[in-house]
Amino acid sequence: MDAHRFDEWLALWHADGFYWVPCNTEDLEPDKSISLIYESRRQLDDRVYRLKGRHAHAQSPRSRLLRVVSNVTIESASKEALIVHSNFVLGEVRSDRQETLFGRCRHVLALDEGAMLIREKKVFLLNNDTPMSNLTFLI
Amino acid sequence: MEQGCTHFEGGSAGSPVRFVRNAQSVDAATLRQLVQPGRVHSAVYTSPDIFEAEIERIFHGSWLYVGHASEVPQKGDYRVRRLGRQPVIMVRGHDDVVRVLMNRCRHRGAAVCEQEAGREKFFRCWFHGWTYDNTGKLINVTDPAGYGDDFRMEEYSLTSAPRVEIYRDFVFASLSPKVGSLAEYLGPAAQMIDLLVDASPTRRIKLSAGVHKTVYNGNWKMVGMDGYHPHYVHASVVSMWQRQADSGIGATHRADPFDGKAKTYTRDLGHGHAMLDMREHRVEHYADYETYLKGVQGGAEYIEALAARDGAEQSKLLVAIAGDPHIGVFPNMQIINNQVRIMVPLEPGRTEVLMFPVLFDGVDDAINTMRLRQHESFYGPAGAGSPDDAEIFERAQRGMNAQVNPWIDISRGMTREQAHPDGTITGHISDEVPQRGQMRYWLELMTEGAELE
Repeated sequence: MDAHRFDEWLALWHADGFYWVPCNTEDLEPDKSISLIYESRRQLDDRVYRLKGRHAHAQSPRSRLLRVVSNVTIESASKEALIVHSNFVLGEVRSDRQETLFGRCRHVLALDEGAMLIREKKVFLLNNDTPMSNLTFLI
Repeated sequence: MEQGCTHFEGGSAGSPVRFVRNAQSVDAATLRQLVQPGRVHSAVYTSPDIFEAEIERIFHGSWLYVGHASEVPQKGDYRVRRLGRQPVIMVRGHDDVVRVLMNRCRHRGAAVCEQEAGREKFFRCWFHGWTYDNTGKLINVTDPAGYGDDFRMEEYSLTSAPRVEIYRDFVFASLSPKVGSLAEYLGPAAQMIDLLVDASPTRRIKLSAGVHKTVYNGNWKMVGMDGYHPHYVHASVVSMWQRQADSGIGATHRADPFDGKAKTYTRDLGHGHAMLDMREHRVEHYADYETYLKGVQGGAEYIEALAARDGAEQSKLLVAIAGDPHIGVFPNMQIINNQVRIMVPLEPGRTEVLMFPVLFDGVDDAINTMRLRQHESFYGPAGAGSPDDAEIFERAQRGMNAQVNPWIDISRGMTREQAHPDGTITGHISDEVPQRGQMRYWLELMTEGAELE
């Protein structure tokens, strides 16, 4: 993700995968309230298609990214799925500006024919109720 | 409260002494040199002095959109907002009246409401304990004997914005008591707001789905109605729509409304209000959208409900417009696609844009869910559209610091404008009719303000 390796990132997703970045609060009913991102695997295809193109101006030049992931804990593990929580600090540098994002992730990882794929990913950004400028890189 | 304009008298504060840093230097003669037919000096976007004058003469001197009554549905519900730089509380009192109150204690000026939103019977100032009810009335003063026998609590209510009026649940306020009526101010923009409200089968909309808060390093006036930019700023999205016509808000933007051949127009509605008028085009491509909508649960019933209520022709327009009149209401509001926006000027080169998705009352939940997903696809800090707008606004702000030749050109389509009997002016969808309308009214407010100071 930090290196914008979009196709490799997409390949980590399950065909029924779901990507959710809530807005304003950590938990909400996504059918009743707005999220920052609430996308199926097909919509992720669109996102990546757009970002890979030459006209995603908010990623031209691209953000330089570096994230530190820690506090990894396993909520549950079975033969079919692994539910994992983690925290991250993400630094972004672009256009002479440095931003720092803090967040919590919950991954549901599915075991599918020996491969581990992302079935669900939820990202809670600590500042998701504050004005934000540019979240067009992968978070 | 639903129909027409509801009017409330303002507060008791009296006219304050104006104390504005540097703004007095921005006199009317200077302003007329900076805003000329078809061109505007970059200082209008970059100068701190002009920005201070804008705050005083436009944001503290004319009507502003504050919020929607559906954001405060229950007695005691409130939202904290800013009018220009001034903090206010939009609150529904125990008497069911929605007020706009200055968020400062009448004693020593501390904000009495710290949460952004909530429900309260009382607002207590924790500096010295003065307490107000949710109509703003002062109901408790700590140790009142200290103020002597002449002290009257009823004279110390939270101060109301001097003017508050509500049009179809859209709450507007003015910090200046001198403005005319809201109806006069909105003019033809009111019937465009109707296009949104009437798209709900019950003629009620709800702004209860949260907010996307965005910020960019550019001037507040950059956010405008511009039908010239989509193929460039949003080239990446247009390309997505070509892959998948129903993708996101592409579902309503059928057959490229910005290709120069579509029956789409820019429209100056007066008072700086402007519209990308896509009514004819949307109706022409109604069948595509109808097919799409019928594929959504409750879509067919929604179409039938509007037809039963308003007849075939009007309901077709309302369904095709999809609650999107695509208007800007000067200076701080827009209704575009599935959202109502508030623009908040922070600095000459910094602006917040708050985006509130609109839900329809009286429809299947699936329709509102669709509206949310469409909104997210393009808008907000992680959407496919807004961040590219913000990026280009920032480039424009940086570029405008080059002031050897300081003029920005807004002359496109000046020779082909058409004036209409209703007072509106139209041009091609790519013409800068909205920019000229915005700057014409900007100059009017700014020069009037200069003459008052």
